[in-house]
Amino acid sequence: MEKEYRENRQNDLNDFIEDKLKSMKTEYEKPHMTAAQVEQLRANMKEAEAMNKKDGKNNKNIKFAGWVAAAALVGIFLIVPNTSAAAAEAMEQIPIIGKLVEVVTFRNYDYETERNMAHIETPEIKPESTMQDSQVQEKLERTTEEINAEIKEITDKLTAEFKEGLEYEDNYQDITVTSEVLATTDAYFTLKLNCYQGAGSGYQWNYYYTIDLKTGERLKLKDIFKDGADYITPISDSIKAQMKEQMDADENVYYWLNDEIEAFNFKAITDETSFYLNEKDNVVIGFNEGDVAPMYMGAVEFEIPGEVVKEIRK
Amino acid sequence: MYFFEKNGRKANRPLIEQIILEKYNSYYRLAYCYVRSEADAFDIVQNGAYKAIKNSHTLKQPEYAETWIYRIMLNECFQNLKQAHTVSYEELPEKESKAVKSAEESCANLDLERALASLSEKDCAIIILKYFEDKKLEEIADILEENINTVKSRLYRALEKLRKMLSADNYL
Repeated sequence: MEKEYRENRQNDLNDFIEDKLKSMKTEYEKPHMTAAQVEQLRANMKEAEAMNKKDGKNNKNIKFAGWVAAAALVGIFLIVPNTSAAAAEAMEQIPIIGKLVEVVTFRNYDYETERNMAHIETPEIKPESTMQDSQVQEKLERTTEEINAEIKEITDKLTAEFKEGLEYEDNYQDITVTSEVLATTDAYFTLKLNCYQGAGSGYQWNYYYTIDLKTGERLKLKDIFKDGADYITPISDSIKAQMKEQMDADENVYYWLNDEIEAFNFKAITDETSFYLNEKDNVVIGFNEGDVAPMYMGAVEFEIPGEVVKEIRK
Repeated sequence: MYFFEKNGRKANRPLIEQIILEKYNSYYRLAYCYVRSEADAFDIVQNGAYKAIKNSHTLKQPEYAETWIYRIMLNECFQNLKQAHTVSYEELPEKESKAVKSAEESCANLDLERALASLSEKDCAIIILKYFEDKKLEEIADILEENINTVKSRLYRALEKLRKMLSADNYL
């Protein structure tokens, strides 16, 4: 019922705009090319035809990929390895509780022209070598190495894609990768990698890397719950309830919850779903753009209230 | 999407020329809607037509020729907007006043026009293609090289934005 009401109200409002737009159509259709312009166009087309005949044979796969147009490329090309003292320092200054790990900038890749923009940070997690338990220390080192390698692979790939895009003069692209240390508890450390890639339209997605500082291992969602406990259902139910609540409260918010397209609808999280633990020690579930909501909603997060999983937390 | 391939397809050229000669006014008013200048709109059509014909052999599927040309024209529009001038919203009232119509209608449409201009280029394209050029969402998705669901959600968002802006101006 509620959904129906919501949809009806939405439809009415959109109908109003649609009617207005339709009334504008006549206005839109007014501009016409003059006879002289049409003649000029014909002449221009003949010229293009001649060009097409002339170099059509040895024309090497002109890449009209993405957004067309030729633009002079005046590039400022910068690779800042770890010599970027200011950046590295800025990152290091992020206070981390426990000081067991710190984050430094391994590399920055920046590029900016009218049609090509990139800012790709590659952060690196460094374990402090002051831990007493050498076994944990060893694991921590292995875990951070593993995470660093994964991050590097991601940023290498994105940088390579971007550079490949530069080959096509009519391309338009915009890539941003930044990182942040999320507010965490003494027990956990989370580095979040924020990625945005635009080429015509943009896509936003994130990676969360959480380390259990007690064991030095990568934290999986199941690790924080009692063995064999069903955490998927209560977390998924909580997310659904929050989706509904948010949609009811704000008509601009839309999640795929009870959508007509059943295949889109959010059903449950999986073990692979991104998460981290916030400063209240609550589980926060992260979804990438387009995962559980239309693209315009961007990447979304849901904090699962502690009481929802209180019984099954370790 | 593989609209293009290495080996030339000569048969495409007459088809593309024919489409351009039939539809040049569609491209022209599309361009005009973006750039608000007759000279610039004409340049866009010229450049777009030139590129389409010159590269006609790269069009792989002739059945997509119309879509393909639209895409080239739209890209020309976006390129033009990026290059030099941005459309000045302040200029709109003056241009609008040249149009002969009732003051009331002019006012209401001007608002919508301003709201349209504030949309992103792509969202604006979706609105234009859907409501002024009567394109199906599938066609729009092909023109913009977007997933149909992306187009749907963009359309929804754009309408929402228009509605908000108009209601802020007490027209709703």
